[in-house]
Amino acid sequence: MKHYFLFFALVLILVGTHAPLADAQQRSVLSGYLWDENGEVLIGANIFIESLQVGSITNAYGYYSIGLPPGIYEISFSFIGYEKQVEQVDLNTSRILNITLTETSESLKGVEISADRQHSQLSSLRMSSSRFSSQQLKQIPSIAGEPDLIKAIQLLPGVQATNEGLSSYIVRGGNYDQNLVILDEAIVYNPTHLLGFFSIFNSDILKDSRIYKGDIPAQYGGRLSSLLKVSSKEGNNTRFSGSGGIGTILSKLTLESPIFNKKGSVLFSGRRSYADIFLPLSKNEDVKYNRTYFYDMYLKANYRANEKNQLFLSGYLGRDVFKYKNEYYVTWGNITGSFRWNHLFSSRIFSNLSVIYSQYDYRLGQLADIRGVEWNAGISDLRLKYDFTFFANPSSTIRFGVTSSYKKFKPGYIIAASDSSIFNDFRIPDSQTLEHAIYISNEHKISSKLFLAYGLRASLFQNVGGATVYQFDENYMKKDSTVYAPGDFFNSYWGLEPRLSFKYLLSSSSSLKASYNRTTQFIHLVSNSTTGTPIDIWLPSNPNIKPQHSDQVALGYVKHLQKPNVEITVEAYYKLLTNQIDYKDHADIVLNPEMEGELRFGSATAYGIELMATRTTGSLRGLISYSLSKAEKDFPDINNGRPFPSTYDRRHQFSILLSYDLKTRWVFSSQWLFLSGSPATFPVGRFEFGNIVVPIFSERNSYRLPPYHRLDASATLKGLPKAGKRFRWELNFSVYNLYYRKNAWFYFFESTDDNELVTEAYKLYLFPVVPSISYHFKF
Amino acid sequence: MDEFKIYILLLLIISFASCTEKVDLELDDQEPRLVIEAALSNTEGYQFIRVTRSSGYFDNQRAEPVSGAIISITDGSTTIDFRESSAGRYFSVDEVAGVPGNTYFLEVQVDGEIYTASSTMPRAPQIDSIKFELDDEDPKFYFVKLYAQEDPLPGDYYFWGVYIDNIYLTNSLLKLYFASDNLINGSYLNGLKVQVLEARLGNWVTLQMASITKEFYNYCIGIMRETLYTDDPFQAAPANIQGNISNGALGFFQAYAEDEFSDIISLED
Repeated sequence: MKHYFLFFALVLILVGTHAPLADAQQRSVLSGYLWDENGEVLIGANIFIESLQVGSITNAYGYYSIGLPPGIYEISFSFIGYEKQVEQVDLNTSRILNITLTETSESLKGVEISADRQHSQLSSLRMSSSRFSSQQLKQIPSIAGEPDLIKAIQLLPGVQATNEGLSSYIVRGGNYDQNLVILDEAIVYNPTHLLGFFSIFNSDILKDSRIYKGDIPAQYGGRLSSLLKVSSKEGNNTRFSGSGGIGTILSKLTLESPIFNKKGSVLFSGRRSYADIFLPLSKNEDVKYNRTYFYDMYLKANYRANEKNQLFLSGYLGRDVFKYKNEYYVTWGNITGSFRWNHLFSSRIFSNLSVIYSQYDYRLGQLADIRGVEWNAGISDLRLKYDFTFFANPSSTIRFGVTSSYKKFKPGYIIAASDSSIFNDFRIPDSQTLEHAIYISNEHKISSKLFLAYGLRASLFQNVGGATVYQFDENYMKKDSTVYAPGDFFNSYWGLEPRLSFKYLLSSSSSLKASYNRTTQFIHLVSNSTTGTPIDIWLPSNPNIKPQHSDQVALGYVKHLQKPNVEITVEAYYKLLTNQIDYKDHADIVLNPEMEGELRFGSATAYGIELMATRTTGSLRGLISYSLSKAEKDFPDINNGRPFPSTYDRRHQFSILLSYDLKTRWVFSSQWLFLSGSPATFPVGRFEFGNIVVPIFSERNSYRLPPYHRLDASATLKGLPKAGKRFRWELNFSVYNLYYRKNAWFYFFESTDDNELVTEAYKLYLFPVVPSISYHFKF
Repeated sequence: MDEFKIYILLLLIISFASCTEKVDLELDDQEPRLVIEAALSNTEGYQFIRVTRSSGYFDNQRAEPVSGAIISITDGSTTIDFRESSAGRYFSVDEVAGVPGNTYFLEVQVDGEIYTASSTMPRAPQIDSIKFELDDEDPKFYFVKLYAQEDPLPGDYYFWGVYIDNIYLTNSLLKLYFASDNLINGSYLNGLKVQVLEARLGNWVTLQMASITKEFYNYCIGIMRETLYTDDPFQAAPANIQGNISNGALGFFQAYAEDEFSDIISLED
């Protein structure tokens, strides 16, 4: 409790020291929104006053506010991909100025634009992070012509796929449950479709996407290793418009329209896959009995009530279905919904109140007769969030806020799916938690060369009954259980997370960065597999499972090379993770109420160096990245207490992406990825038991799979725009895994069918060459 | 219960259309270790124990038998001695039977090293009757359907084996069918399909129902996990299964109680 008082004291001090300063100097405030021609706000757009050498950027809702001494100024408004606009503004009194920027026309796209300098790593206050605009996403060759955000982030050094095709990703050696994914303020618990082949993000409606591998801002918390923050479009509030695509693998449609006399807008977007991409290319005979598909839908609406108030409603629904012979089925999906209210308390205090619901659930079952069963599990989350941004003065932007969430965990229950079923109902008890956090941070420009971002986040976690908690003895055998009544607060944990970031401009083209980040995670994804499956189970911390913590330090250097217009980033990091979860040998997680006894706890370290060179404008664009890293685990109960390689320890990572505009109609792009092989456990002997050959295995993770690499390529033909008509089209041809590398997903060892005594090693590989064609349109 | 888990694994394997290819690998070889397979049943007869050694993973031949082992099983009052009949194969000197409820101790001496294990024989199960059902998808096969009352006390584990015309068909661990009473505890098993075999009308089929210890059940499930569904990429990292024999020996010693029921496949089925 006293932590909360300390907090509010800090808020008052910070706000108090900055506010009077502003008033004393009689500042005029220039504020407003930056939009594009469709009424979509521009996030992170630049406002710059050359004469004073001060500037600001728009926040997540496109709002900016800057206090200047009274006078007349030339102010420039710019954003990558848009024409810069300069306005003469009389700021003898405070003024509201909303600006609409126009997109750079096609013919100018090839020309170097210096505005991009302001949006690059060089100018960004944060380190360890990258932004992806929707244009950049489209330039990456994709499966089925469907640009994918989660595949795109895997081009960055330090972000790796867990395995071939699977889109759950690893950031700097951290487990895949340590990545926070936020879509329009709502948490997405499983951001993938089709076991990760696609992500849930429909690139047609993505507006702004950022990934933070470290240096996570204080307003976010709850996961250790990364933040992927995605904002989708709100809807065209100037006219009815839409876009869509038809392809060999999936189709999609987006429709947008203004409402309430252009004071608001509404957007609907949907996608559905149909041809099962793997199936025609598979040699597996059982495959003809499969039905595999996914669909997702986005619905958004907003209403600008007046200059100070805007309301937003958004929802997402997605589902994956796997069916075999109409008898066995697996289905899973996310549902998110949020209501948000932007309110300006003054031109310098922006606030957003959100009420958000997120849910992830899955069901597996078998329909037939006496063995009919269905297994259900999931997690749901109801959250209240109140965030404030105080634009104190041109050198300080203070953010503070509070959030509370109620989570319900359903680890699994089986219901007999028919009356004749001989299976009894079986349930692993549900649990509930409350999680609260408050934070405060300041982005502080100390001098023209030195920037500091500092913040503190404090979080409190509580277990709430009804719940059943088991107690285990030193041998992890269940010895007792306690039942808590509904509403009974029976356990709590709290965490304090300082976030510090430092940037020093060495010259106009280079900067030095450093950061320290501490994060806490109260929920954990428990899995029976090393590769991650959609039926992993979310568990809360409780008396048996302590919260995870991470401390990360990073040092970086950014240099912009003028002539080739290339930006180079070098970063080194060291991460210490505590209270990490792993499993005993032969852990039994599936449908086991005592699964907590299968867990083992220890710590992990991850460190590495990342290099990246990017070129984002011009007709030849691209990215080259390399990462050298190591991830190790240290658990007293595993591997006899000796450190062993983490499942995510992949020494080298290299990727190269190139995209080339040929005249105005063709865009060619290609990417090559390389990743050192994953650690694996192989047999080192055999014995016979019950007339079968049984392998004897090596120490955990003491071998490596062969390296992973593949080449993708795509060509896009753009239709010639007809004069006066808005209709645009594109035809995309893409090939995934062009040289048909059979990347080992998994190695296994077994006796041959005809002779039990003869054993062989096999590899499982997923995607052979996957070509696709798709047609996209926009109006 | 675990059959359901196996369904889940099957589901995930099947629904994922991946391709398999053989690979050539060089693996390290561990030092050979002693392997003991020992079982004691409640049916009177010559009890059998096999002793062999482990070898390199790609050593594609029969396991090397170990001769000259001195083996005995005792329950504290009586001792059963064993003698070697052929290399690595040991039989009890007399025809004996174990008693449900008794705890048995195994001792094996090889090259001056002593290996011990213990197991408590569970209570005997009881089969009321069996019926047969033709497999619609493959008429060469018949399902054996069990009619029995499952003991309402939880913590029972079983395997089922089958004989055809007195020949034991399920002579490998993979052909036995294992289950725990987790999802069926206390139910009346009304025609539960517990075995399947290639048979014809007129065959005399015997169903063996064995009540086994939890430790042996877990050991077999572990062995099957490491050998059966090996091609499931969604399973946990492989690891060695812990047997119940001391001094670093591999294998298992288990006491089990069985019941049998025989019937002839006739036109009604």
